[in-house]
Amino acid sequence: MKIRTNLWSGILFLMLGVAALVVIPTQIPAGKNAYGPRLFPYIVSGIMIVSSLGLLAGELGRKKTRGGRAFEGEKALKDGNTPEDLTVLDAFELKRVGLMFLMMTAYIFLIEPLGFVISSLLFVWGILIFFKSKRWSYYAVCGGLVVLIYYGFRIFLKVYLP
Amino acid sequence: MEALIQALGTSFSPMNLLFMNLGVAIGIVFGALPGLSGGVAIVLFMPFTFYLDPIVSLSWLLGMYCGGTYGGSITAILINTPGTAASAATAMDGYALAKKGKPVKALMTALAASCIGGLISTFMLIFISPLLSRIALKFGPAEYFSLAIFGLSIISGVSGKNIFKGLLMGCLGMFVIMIGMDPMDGVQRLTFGNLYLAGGIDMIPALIGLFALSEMFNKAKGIEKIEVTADFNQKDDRLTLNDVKGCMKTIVKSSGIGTIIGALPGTGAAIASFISYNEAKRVSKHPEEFGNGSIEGIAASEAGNNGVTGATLIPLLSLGVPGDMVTAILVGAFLMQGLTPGPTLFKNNLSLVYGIMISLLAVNVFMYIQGRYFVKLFAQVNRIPMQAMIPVLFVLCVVGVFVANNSMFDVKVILIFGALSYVAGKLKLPVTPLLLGIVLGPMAEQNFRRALSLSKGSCLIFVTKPISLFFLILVAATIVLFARKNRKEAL
Repeated sequence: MKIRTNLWSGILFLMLGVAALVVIPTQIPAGKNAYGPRLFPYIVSGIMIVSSLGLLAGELGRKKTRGGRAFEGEKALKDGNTPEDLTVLDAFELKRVGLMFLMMTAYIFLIEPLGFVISSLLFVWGILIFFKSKRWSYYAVCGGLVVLIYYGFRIFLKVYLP
Repeated sequence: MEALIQALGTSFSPMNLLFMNLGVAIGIVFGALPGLSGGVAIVLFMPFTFYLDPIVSLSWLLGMYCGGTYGGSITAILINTPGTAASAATAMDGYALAKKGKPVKALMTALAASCIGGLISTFMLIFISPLLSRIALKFGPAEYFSLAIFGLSIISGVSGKNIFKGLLMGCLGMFVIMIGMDPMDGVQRLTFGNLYLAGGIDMIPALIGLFALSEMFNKAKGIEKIEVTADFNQKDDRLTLNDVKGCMKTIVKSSGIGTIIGALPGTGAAIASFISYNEAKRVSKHPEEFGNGSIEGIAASEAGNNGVTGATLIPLLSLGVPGDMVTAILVGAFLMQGLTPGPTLFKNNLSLVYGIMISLLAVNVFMYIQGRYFVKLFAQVNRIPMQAMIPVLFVLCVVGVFVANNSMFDVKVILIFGALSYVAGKLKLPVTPLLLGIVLGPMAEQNFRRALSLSKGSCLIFVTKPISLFFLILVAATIVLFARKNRKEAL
């Protein structure tokens, strides 16, 4: 799937900028004067909205001209290149990244209930399985390193990991 | 003088020497691994500096910075895959020379040029930054605000072809740093009633998420196996003194180019290496050799990119403004030690500043020694199985973030920034502006409000003060310059 990066970035940040304008009065108390805690967030929201509109205007303006960069972008993509304003989403890559992210999240949330050593061992071995690693030495070295990190911190730095 | 003697003592303490060398070795390894870099190494190991003396911790990280910049050339030369963008120019001649059966000569040329480039750059740092900091000590809020805006104008240089994307990411960074307590009025901002957010988002988990996790996600699809086939045992494969003499002029000139470019915020090692390479080719007596294994080409590129290393510290140490991504990351290391980079550092911690400069000189010498004697070992770095390295690096990230603040909340924050960085990569949004927003946002906001408070709300204060006006003119010039450059590239 192809994604127009300028278009989607523009839409995303326009929504963020507008949301910030709505949220600021509820989340930031007014100061004693005009240059209080709300001033800078308002300025930054303004810049965000103007920049996203600039991005969108550039993208929509380009789309209208057939000889513009949008057209060149499509051509470059056909030639096997990925131009600045286009990105190709690879379902396989997204699945792999999503899975890796899930494993990392699970690891972080398991540190407290299971303890650092057990959760880390599960994580490093899980990632090795994820990469379809068949060499047992990798499993042993990674496991050993986890134990080394734990005791290294405990003994030398006196840091107690969960 | 007392500060200098104190700095010499700390810089050459066994502990500092050990950590400098360790930093250089880590930097070379990370720089040599495609996808990783000295910057990633700094981010990963920064939390552990909390337990070290300030000079030792900064020397350690500077070792990674210099080592990483050189390390990128190893894979560029041996497998035509630059470890970092800064070594892309090196690959053109380095790989060609390695293919001719002279990998050692190519690696040694890169090493000698890197070392000389780094040393020249550090000498410039030693001479220029004290002068700049003396001027900066006279700055008031208006000048500091304009300076911060000048620092933020770097965004135009690191935004790729679309400045709006850089601005958007810079704004996002500023929003991130606004979360928590308002530094002037002491009220809570954008915390949504969450107690963990009341203290704000710490820089360390943000940095690790943005720069380390994103590299791990990039490897999720699969890991390519890289084989180094270069033969290191050829008889005539060595760098002679005559070779060095022959390209000394190029090395010195390229180091100068690197130094000037490094001192300019928003540029960086990649630009320096290409400009140096092109300049060397332009004036060379044998331009036809460029691209076919010219040692002049390798020397120019490497002296150029390492010439940046000391110079990028000039705006950071003297003005408190990071010149590129790595120095923006280094701000986090200073803050961890309770230090604020900028002119007050020269006033209050002179021995530390001298220590940093002396250590940087020493780091370049150690980089040469390590490269000279362990070149074959570093060439084997690509044998490190990435599938085993990724989980261990992630465990290190988690431990590093946890020990920095003893907070599991911070550990969870790295996931958010890692995901943000991946999405940003997919949308081709540059991450460096976000970091610049995080680093320079507070400086800009606090001084903006202070200046307005002094002028009773009049914005004229920013243009009536000459230094402030000077920086604002520089901002306009920087934006116009980069916009023109980007437009040219787009056409």
